Amino acid sequence: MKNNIVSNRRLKMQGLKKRLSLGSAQKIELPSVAKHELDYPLLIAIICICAFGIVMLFSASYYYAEQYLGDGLHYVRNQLGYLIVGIGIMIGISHIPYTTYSKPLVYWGLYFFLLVILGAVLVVGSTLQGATRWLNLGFISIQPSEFAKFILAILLAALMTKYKQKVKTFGGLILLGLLIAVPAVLIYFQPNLSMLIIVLFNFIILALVGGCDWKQVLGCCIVGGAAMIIYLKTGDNYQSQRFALMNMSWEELQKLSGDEAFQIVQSLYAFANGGPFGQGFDASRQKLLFLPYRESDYILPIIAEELGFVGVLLLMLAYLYIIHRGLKIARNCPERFGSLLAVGMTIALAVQVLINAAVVSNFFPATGQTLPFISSGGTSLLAFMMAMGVLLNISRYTEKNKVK
Amino acid sequence: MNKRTNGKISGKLNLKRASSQSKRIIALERVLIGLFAVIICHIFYISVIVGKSRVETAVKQWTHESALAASRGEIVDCNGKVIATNGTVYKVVLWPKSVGKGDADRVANELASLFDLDYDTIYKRATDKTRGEYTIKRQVDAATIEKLRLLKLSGVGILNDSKRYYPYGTLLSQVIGFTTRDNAGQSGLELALDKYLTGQDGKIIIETDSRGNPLPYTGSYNEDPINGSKVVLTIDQVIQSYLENALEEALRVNNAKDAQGIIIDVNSGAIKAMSTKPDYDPNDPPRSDLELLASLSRNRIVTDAYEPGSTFKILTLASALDSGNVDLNSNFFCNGGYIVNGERIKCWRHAGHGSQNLTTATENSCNCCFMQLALRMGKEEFYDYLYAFGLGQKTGEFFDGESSGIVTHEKYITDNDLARIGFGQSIAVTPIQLAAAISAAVNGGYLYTPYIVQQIVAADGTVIDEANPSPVRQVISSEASQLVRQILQSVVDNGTGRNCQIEGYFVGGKTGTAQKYDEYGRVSAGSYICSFVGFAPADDPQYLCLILVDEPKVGQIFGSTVAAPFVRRVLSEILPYSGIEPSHLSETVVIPDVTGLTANEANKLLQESGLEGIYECDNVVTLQIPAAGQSVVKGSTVLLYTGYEGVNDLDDNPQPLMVKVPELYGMTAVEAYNALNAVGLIMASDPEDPYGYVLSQDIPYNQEVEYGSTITLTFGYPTGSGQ
Repeated sequence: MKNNIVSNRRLKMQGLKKRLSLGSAQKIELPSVAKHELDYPLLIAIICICAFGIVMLFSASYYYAEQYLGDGLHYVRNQLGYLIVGIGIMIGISHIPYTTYSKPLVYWGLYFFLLVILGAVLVVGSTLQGATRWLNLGFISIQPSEFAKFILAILLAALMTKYKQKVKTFGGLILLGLLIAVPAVLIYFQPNLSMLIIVLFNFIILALVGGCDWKQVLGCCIVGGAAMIIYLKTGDNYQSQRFALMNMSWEELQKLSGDEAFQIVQSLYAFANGGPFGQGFDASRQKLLFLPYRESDYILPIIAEELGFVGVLLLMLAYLYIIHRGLKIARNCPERFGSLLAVGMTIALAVQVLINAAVVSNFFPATGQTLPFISSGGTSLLAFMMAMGVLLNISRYTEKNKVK
Repeated sequence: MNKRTNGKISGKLNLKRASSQSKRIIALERVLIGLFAVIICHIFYISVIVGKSRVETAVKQWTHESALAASRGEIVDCNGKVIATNGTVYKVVLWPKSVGKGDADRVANELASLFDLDYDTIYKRATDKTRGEYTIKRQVDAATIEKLRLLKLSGVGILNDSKRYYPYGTLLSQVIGFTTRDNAGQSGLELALDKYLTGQDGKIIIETDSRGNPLPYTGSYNEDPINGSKVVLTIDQVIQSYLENALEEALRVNNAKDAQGIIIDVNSGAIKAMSTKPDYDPNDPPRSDLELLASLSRNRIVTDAYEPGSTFKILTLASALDSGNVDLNSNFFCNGGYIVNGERIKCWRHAGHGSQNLTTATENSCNCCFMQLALRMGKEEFYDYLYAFGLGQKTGEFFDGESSGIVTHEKYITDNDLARIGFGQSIAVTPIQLAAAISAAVNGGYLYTPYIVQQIVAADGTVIDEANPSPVRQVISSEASQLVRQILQSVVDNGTGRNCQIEGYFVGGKTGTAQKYDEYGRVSAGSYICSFVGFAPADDPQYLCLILVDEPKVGQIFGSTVAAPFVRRVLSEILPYSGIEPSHLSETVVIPDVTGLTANEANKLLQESGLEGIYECDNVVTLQIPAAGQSVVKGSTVLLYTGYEGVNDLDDNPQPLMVKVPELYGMTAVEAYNALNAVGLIMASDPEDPYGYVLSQDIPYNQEVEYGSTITLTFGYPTGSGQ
């Protein structure tokens, strides 16, 4: 009976799909391999980075919190709370079969939920530093855009699995692009340009991995990239100012250090003061209120100042290890949806780390992205923990030994 | 079922596809690793490659460097009493870079209202991130600082500052001078010794957070300031006080323009006291009235040369004795004038002094005698002595604006001038030159350069500079000097200097009344500088005291005596203070209170006690110098000030004293002169050299005129009487 209904539906859908030339939908099931233990090295790596993050957050935030909030552990305590909840959620999610997310009800549900909360932010969100990103739920403030990259990754993974032939066509690419464009526009209006860039990068990467024609993707990138560069170069807004700073020499930056370039110059001071081996733990000077957002988006310069280039290098290698494990899970997953989902979760992390590091080192003009697992910020932490939970669940279904 | 197989097939297909997908994932991983590598290289570049050069600019914002003010050296007297020191106050500075975002408005508002400054200026400074530090206010007191601390303004720093403090107020004020508000020497010794007194500022580097708050648990780097050196003066605060009190009173009772005094140690040239009244309080100099300040802060003892008059005769006497042109037995006749090159130069006593020996001539201060002494020596010899006495040269001590006096070059002077120099005219000296020269005349003949700085001691205790008094030269022989002492003692014992007698001590001294000149170089009628120089003990001089009273507005009679009682008073105080025992017992009497009596009655009363009163007119005595109750040598004189209301009250602008013009018709010139002198009027004559009798006077008999006015008299012979 059920099958009949399904086939009836499929018939209807086929008619529609013929017109839209979507091709037949691929059914998604859990791989036939036996469920096994999750990827412990990945879990341990995540927990290690989180622990490191708590320690560095303590160092970065203690002075301000003690001197001006009257509670030196203000940020650490909050973050620790989120972290414990986050680990619980991660472990919990790692037990939910990832195929759950392939159900249309789930991913479309998530997608529309995302649109609703992003819309809600624009309507009733709270504004901080000129951007409306937060949704005050009374007991907690969340940043819906933090979830966007993961929800969109689920949507893309599911659609690209179900309509894998179609995605190879230009029309398919455009359709996917349109699906991404709706939340992207909402994010743009917050404005949260860096989140927008992360979402777009994630989309491009997933599209490429998912089998889109790389020439088409490249073409889109060139057109989109050129449009963006023209927009930044000619525009007269905050983003174009940041873009201009990226191309400035140190001397020019210093001239503007009282003004637009204040934050980036302070950040560069921190890197400079760190040198190769750092000033030592807790020895940062820039955290003494010179560098704004030292406990959140700009915590990496503080790490660089205290632990030096070597500290940053080791941290980046740790991230790369997580990325490597994530992509390994993606390759070892015998099933396309799981594989794409693993890629989606991993690159969301990878792109965010890259963007954060590039921004604070004035390599890339954007603002306001947390450093995953380390920056203070509950929503970001929870979102990444959830993503890691999904990744860990996929790791239970990998074909061991397929890839070393 | 079909679907199941399809599922399996699709699973295999998935696997197949997965392998191409796997390749893409591997490629992705490589791309990601590549991107990470780029970022890591970039971070390596900014941290390691260019890091060092960038840290230097960063360090500036982590610290605040402020000057640690070196405390200015103290000035102490010869006994270590502190005359100038420093009090702790505070300095408020603004560190614009540390002013919190959006806090500039509040900072500017609070500072403006607290220190009464302009809001806009402070706001501009608070937002000017290019400067590290602005000084908002210096020398802020502790109470204001307490208020400021409570405001907790960001970017506002509080540093220690110091303010010059003079515990004795006006004491020695012209000598010490004062400092600018920034503690830099501005006048007097504060200026002259600025390089010693000013230390070297240190600095403090405080680590702060971005809002300027010093960090807890971190030290600050100090470069300790090197404090200024201590200056030890030869001045003795006690002696200085004695002198200043005496000058204060001399100024007050004589209603004078100013009163100057110097006390010098005759055997070293050390200045023990030096002052000019009126003065000012260096703790709060009247900065708003610069002209007044310049006048009050003038150390006239060194800056103002004057025509000394009779006190100068000591030098003429000493030179003549030493050169052998005169001895105690020399005789001089004075008929009221002496003719030099056909010009009759008048003696001060127009009636003349008659026949005198050297001692009596000096007692009488006879001009004729001293003209002859000068002429006997001749230009060359006399000038050698004058230069040897240090005239015409600055002392070279740390005084600003020192005058070298005026000694006209011998080439340009006539014998007439030379004769005048003999009694102290046609030459200008500073009081300090005169005091030093007279010291040489009485101390055995040795000229010492006067000095005021005994020692300069660095903050670490090392002595940087120390006065080492040694005679510049011997000007006259000790025998000649001995004779000078003897004669000058006689002046005090028997002559014009009787007002300076001190019970139990031998005192030597000489009066002086110098003319003043107006702005056109003419003798200014009624303006005198009355002075007295005294030294004690006369047989072994220790201290010499010179007091000048500039333009005393009292009678002519007092002219020669105005200053002497004050010299007496000072010497009689400092001799016991310095441990100099009285050499003999003299009969003393206690001065009775004669105020309220008429001058005649008072004089009778004084004469009964063996004293003598000096007064100008028989009015009610309002003031007596010395005061009642003092014990003085029998035969001393007491100045009786009469009928001069307001004499005790300088605060009120005194009404000019009016006197009645006496009837002068038929008097000889000398009689007229004395009559006019008696009421404090000046005689001018027509023709200039009066002969015969007074025929008329320009202001009629009994008309009231201002004290000190000039009355022009026409002389001649009444018509009808033969010539």
